This record gives sequence, structure tokens and C-alpha cells, in this order.
Amino acid sequence: MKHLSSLVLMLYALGGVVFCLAVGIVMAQVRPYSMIMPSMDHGLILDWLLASLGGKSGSMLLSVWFLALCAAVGVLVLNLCCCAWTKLLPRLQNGTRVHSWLLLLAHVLMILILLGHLSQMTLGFKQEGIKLLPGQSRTLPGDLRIAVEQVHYVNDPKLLNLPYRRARQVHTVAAFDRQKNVARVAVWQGAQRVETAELRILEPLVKNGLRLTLSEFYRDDSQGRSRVGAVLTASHNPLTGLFFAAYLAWVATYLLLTVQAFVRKPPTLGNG
Amino acid sequence: MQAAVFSDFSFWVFLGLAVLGVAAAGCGRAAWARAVGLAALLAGLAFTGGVCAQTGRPPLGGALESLGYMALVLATLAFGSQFGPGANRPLVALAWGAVVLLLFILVWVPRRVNPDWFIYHYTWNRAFFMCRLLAMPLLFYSALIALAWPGRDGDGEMRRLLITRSRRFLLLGTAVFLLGEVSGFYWCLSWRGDYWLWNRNFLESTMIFLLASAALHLPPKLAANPRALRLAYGPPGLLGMGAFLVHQVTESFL
Repeated sequence: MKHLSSLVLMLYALGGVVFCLAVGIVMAQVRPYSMIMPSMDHGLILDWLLASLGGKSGSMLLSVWFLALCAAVGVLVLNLCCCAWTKLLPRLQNGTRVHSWLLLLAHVLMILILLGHLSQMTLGFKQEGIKLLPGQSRTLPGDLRIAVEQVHYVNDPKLLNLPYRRARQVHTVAAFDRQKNVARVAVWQGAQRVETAELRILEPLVKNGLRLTLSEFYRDDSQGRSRVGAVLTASHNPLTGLFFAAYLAWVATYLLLTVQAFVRKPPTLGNG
Repeated sequence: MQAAVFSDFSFWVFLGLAVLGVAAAGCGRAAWARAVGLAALLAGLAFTGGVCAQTGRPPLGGALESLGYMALVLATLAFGSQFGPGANRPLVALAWGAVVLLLFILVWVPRRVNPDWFIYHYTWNRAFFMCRLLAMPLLFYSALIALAWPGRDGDGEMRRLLITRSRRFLLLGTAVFLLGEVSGFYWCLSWRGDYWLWNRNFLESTMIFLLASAALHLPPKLAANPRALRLAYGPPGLLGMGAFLVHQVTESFL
């Protein structure tokens, strides 16, 4: 337990995570990994992992990298738990210093945040990049179905289907009206229509745990005339709210610790 | 158009005065360094104000907006470093040198404001960029303090003061950085349907936080060693700023 909660182990674990991240940053810019990595966002990571472990060599290597990253984070979580249990918790018995409470809280919240990350990768479902034209629909897990009934796009459709960087330059406030460009979407549970909503970019629909997000509009020229469709992301994760609550509480704790560091008298030579 | 001319004029004045600030601090002319520093700070304010007048919003993305704003924050810190018991000549020179570096990049990248992307008007997007642009110079300043504190043979009291200041700014920079991260997560969730994306930007951000965490969790033996502390407190700011500059410069030419 003493070794598991040590700062030395924590530094090794952090070093491992940083190394994995550095490798990931390189992979994100080198083919073929730069082409494969975005597929990690298309669905649940767990599904991607199971599919890619038996896939081509590129995705195989990416999944090995991901597993190494998870292993390093796993050691870090173990260290966090042991440190909180054997070092930070006993400190509270020696007095009720606010600093000790804040330190313990920061570590416990960090554990919750990492568990939230884990849940986001493994629980519920996620389908990104669902391209639907008006009248088209997509079936989702849990007997759900989403249908785009109508797309109301008031700006120039020629400015659609651009690469991200180019789109960021041309989709100015003058060229893209976020309030007026809407997609009317219906959600069906079996044969029953459970929700109808007008989706705008940055204004997702959240209903019974289902999160439906309009990421962008696209232009379809396949049938001779241009039609505008919606690109949607459908996801369901029961712990997203908990993750954000933990993250906000953690940042608040971090800010309080920072204020304390500024207010306290400088310690003797060392790391505080 | 007038705002563009005004901000460009202010830019050159800011750069010139920052160079003088380095020279005055380097030569040990404290009074000159303070006077030039104040003038540079005012020029930096005028420059950033001119950029904001062009865009009608706070500085957010792109080299001109971000580097200009970060140079202003660093200039404020450089100016503040000249006062109080921890006033330190190498630190002041280094901080003004960092201002010059940021502004010098703007000499050769196109000095134009970013188009008014509709997403820039989303509150959480603004919060993300504003926190990121504040966190980077704070972390960088912490790294500069680590480079500036005296070695083993130098003034022990000054070293102690600067180590404390470096740690404080490392904490502050990380806290602001994390505030930006949670804003960015929420922006990403509202826009892309998930708060995390597997790409270079997200991996780099996580790495900066972890490097700061490592620096703040040194075992007592290492924490008592100024050289080890220097090695630990430097990377979050230096690597973070390095990665940020690479992004800005490469995007400027795309």
C-alpha cells in the first residue's frame, strides 16, 4: 500500500501517460494513423476497440497505443485511490485544516472525473456523423429512430461541404445565420413518436438521456439538384451530467487551492 | 480601416518599447526599465484595443489576436516583476524577451484578424479561448521564473522567493487552463455531441495539465533541489507555449 500511494509511483505513472500522449500526438499527424484516429470519435470507444483489434495493422497499432494509455491511466487511478486513502484521509484527523480537506476533495474528484471518462467510453451508445436528408431516418439502439422531417437553410448552400479550416473562415456571422438555419427532427420509440424538435447548431435536444446534436449542414448534389441535409450525433450516456458536475467542482477546488497558495506565507525552500 | 491602422501603429510602438525594455533590464537600468515598461504596457493596451475594435469581440483565435493579447499579459507580468522584494533583473529581462518573441512572430506572419466565425459568439467558446489565452502566458511566466532564479551559489533568499512565485503562477496558470478546458468540453459537447475528441489538440491539452501536475507533486528529495525544481517547473509553460505557437504560425499560412 505504501508503494502504491507513493509520489514516486505517481511520477512514473504520469510519465507513462505523458509518453503515451506524446506518441498519440505524433500518430495524429502521421499517415495512416491520422486517417484512422478520427474513427475513434464515430462511436463508443469500446466498440471501436473491439473492431480495431481484429482489423488492419494501422488500426491494430492504434488500439495497442490506446490500451497502453489506459494501462498508464489505470496505474494513476490506483495511485490516486491509495494516496487519498492512506495519506490524505489520515491528515484530516490531525486537525481540520481547510487545505487538507481541499487536497482530499481534489483527489477524490479527480478519481470521479476519470471514472466519468471511462463511462463515456463504455456506457450507452454514440453515433457520430449521421447524415440525413429531409424524409430520411436512422435506427438507434433501444428501439429508437430519428427522422429528419424538414431542413430550413436560409444561407448560400455553396458554402457547405467545405473542409473544417475553410468552413471556419467563410461561415461568419454574416454568411451563416445560426438561429434561422434549423433541422426539424422527430424521435420515435418503436411506433410511438416521443419528441419533435427544431435543432440548431449548438442547441442540442436532450430527452430521456438521449442527446441529439446538430453538428453541421451538408449539401447533397447526387440527384441532379442540390438538397441540404443535417449531420447529427446521437448519444446516450447516463453519467455525462455527473462528469461535468465533478469537473466543475474539481476546478473550483483547484481555484481555492490556488488562492490559498497566494495567500499563505512563502514556505521554506522546497515544494510546499 | 482606421482601427486597423491604429492597431498596426500601436503594434510597432509596442514591439520597439519591448525591445528597449529588454535592453534596459539587461543593462541594469531599473528606473529606465520601469519607465519604458509602463510605456510598453500602454502601447500593448492600445494594440489589443485596436484589434478588439476591428473584431467587435475579445481576442480569441488567430495569430494577431492571440499573440498580441498574450504579449500584453506577459508585459503586465514583466512590468510587475520590477517591484517588491522579489524584483529580479534576469526575470524582467526574460519576461520582456518573451514579449519581444511573441511580437516578433507577428512581424512575419500575416497581421490580420480572424474572420468572425459564427461560433465565436457562443459563450462557452469565448470562455474557452479567453481562458486559454490567459493560461498560456501565466504558465510561460512560471517557466521564466524557473529559468531566472539564482543557482546554488546565488542569493538563497531570492531563490526561495522566486521558487514560491513560480509555483504560485504554475498553480494559477493551471487553474485558469482547467477553467478553459471545462468550457471547451461543454462547447464541444454542444457542437459535436461529445466533450472529448481524439485529436492532437485534446491530447496536447491533457499533456500540458499532466506536466503541471507532475511539477506540483515532486517527492520531497526532488522538491528540495532547485535544479530539479527548475526542470519540473519549466516544461508546462515552455512546451505549452511552444505547441501553441506552432499551431498559430502554421494556421496563419494555411
